[in-house]
Amino acid sequence: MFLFETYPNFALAKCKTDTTMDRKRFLKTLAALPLAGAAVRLADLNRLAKELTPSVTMPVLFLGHGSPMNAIEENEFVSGFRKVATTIPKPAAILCISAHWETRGTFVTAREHPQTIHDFGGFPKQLFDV
Amino acid sequence: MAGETQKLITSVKVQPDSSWGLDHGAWSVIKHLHPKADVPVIQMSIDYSKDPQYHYDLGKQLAALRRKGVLIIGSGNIVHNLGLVDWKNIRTDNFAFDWALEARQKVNKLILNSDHKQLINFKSLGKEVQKAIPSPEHYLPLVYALALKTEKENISLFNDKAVGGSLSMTSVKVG
Repeated sequence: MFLFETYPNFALAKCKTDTTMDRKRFLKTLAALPLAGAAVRLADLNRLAKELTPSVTMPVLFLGHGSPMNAIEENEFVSGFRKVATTIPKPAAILCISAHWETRGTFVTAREHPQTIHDFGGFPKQLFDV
Repeated sequence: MAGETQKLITSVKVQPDSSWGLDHGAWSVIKHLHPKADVPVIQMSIDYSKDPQYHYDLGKQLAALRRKGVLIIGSGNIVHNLGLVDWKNIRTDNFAFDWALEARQKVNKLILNSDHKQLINFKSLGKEVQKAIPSPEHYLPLVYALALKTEKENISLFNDKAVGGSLSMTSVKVG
């Protein structure tokens, strides 16, 4: 168990730049951790934290996400997301705080391969295949 | 990085969780930022039992991650009243009810002026804003993003349009 995500077709980036190297090492470290089991072990997490190397200060985003259909539609909002991405260095990782995960207490995702959650209904099948 | 996050946050107990994946608030937007899906993503949940000031203070504690290559994204909607959506006009460009337009303009102005105090106390921003934010969960991700802005940093808006009368897509970039 542990965080890291995977939307479909997850693939390691090719090592062409230094930042990609960092990311690859980061992902390799994730892969090496004993992730099966019920609890994230603190020592493992600290090992992982060490893999994060200092960077320029990354921007922060708030994104109006609107309808889940934005995942598969082509529209001006989607191109706005793409455009802003070109102004930001490629991140080593993304930390997302989403309106759709409310809990009592604060939690972080902690699964090796989290499922995408289709927390809505009445949309075309195409969307559920994402 | 979940560990790094836990370590940074000192004032509250942040707990790892294994029951949640990536919800549509996360993947429907991140997909467009990084279509190759080659950036690891973790999510942090919103504690519904806490007030906006708590979320602002918690957001501030994530600041060090920004200097370790981590892109922090709040995903929500500022104007978000699903019950009042005019579905007939869902495709009408920039269609907003008067109150929604007013709420959007008021909040935008406060964002650009970095008036965080008023933005944290959004419940006191008048009846238009109350109608735009009938429940806090879609607004609170903005509070995290605001909390991470340093005094000297730029802040800008994009995708600043209304949808269906009672929703806004307004997005914010800090830095």
